[in-house]
Amino acid sequence: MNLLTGLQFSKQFPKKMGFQQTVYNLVFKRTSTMALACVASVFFFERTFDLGSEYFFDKINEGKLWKHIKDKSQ
Amino acid sequence: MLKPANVPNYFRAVSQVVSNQLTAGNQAAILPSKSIVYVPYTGTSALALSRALPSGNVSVTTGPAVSTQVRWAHTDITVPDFSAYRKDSVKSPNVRSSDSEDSRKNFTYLIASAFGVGSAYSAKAVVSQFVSSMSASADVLALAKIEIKLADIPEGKSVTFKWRGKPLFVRHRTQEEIQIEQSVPASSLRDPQHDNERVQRPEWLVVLGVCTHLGCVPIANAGDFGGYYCPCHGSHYDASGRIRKGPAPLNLEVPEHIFPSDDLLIVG
Repeated sequence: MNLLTGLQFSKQFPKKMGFQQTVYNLVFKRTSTMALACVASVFFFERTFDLGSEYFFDKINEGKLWKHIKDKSQ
Repeated sequence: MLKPANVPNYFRAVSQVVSNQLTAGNQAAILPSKSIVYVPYTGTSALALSRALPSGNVSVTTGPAVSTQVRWAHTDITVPDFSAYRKDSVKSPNVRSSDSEDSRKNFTYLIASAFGVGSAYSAKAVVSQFVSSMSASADVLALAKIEIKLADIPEGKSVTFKWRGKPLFVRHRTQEEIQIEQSVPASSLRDPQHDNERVQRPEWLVVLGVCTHLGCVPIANAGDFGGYYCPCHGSHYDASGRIRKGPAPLNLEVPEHIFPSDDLLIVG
């Protein structure tokens, strides 16, 4: 109900609703939706960050890790 | 150079006398004025010090009509330019700041959210690290299961293994024992369980060797019912590990077990 208040407000005062205003009204205006957006983006962030850091760790330690020398030692 | 001799020049007050255009009347008589000589109190006696202090109601007057502020008219100082610290969208005086309000708020909240995402990620990492430290380590997991070769156990024998620190009975039952245990009506038992509920394959009985009375280890192939007998208080279990006589309240516990092949038993 309250989520629509911003939309109704902009209907009363017709103004071109830009991208920034849409984002603000839908996400950042209320703390609950902002927290929800944070939690939702953590899933994607975690996946990306973990994979990226793993990739860089392997890149930096190229040739030193067991999975790199496994084939040579067997 | 500020020399002591020059100092009075800086403090010299300039007063302007404006004539009030009135002529002073002639004085009828001139009264001799008393000359009062104020002798400053000197010394550090209690009296001198107390006289030096202000006495009575001491008050400081301030307010709109009484100026306590000294304002020097420095017109040569320019107002500082803070435009380097201001957002571009509010620099122009011809643009309404409400037009860029949402984008400015979005930026601020986006930064706050980024910190929120970072802290949620760190919190999750810390919590999962501590929680995962509670899970069983590899050496514990290695001891959690036991593999038993069934070919080593001859028919009619009960072999004891150590599993998770407890004795484990694996009994290769004969056809005769199987028939006897299958035909026992469950309603006649203290802890009613049919033989089919306790064994996966009729010829193999897998039970924990812990008496359900007080935890002694029963003796295999002993007792009135040919199964197990607890020497501590005389509980008799049959060849299905069910309590038949004596103080124990429950049947011997059957652990989770599987037969991956005909020759192999895995308990755990």
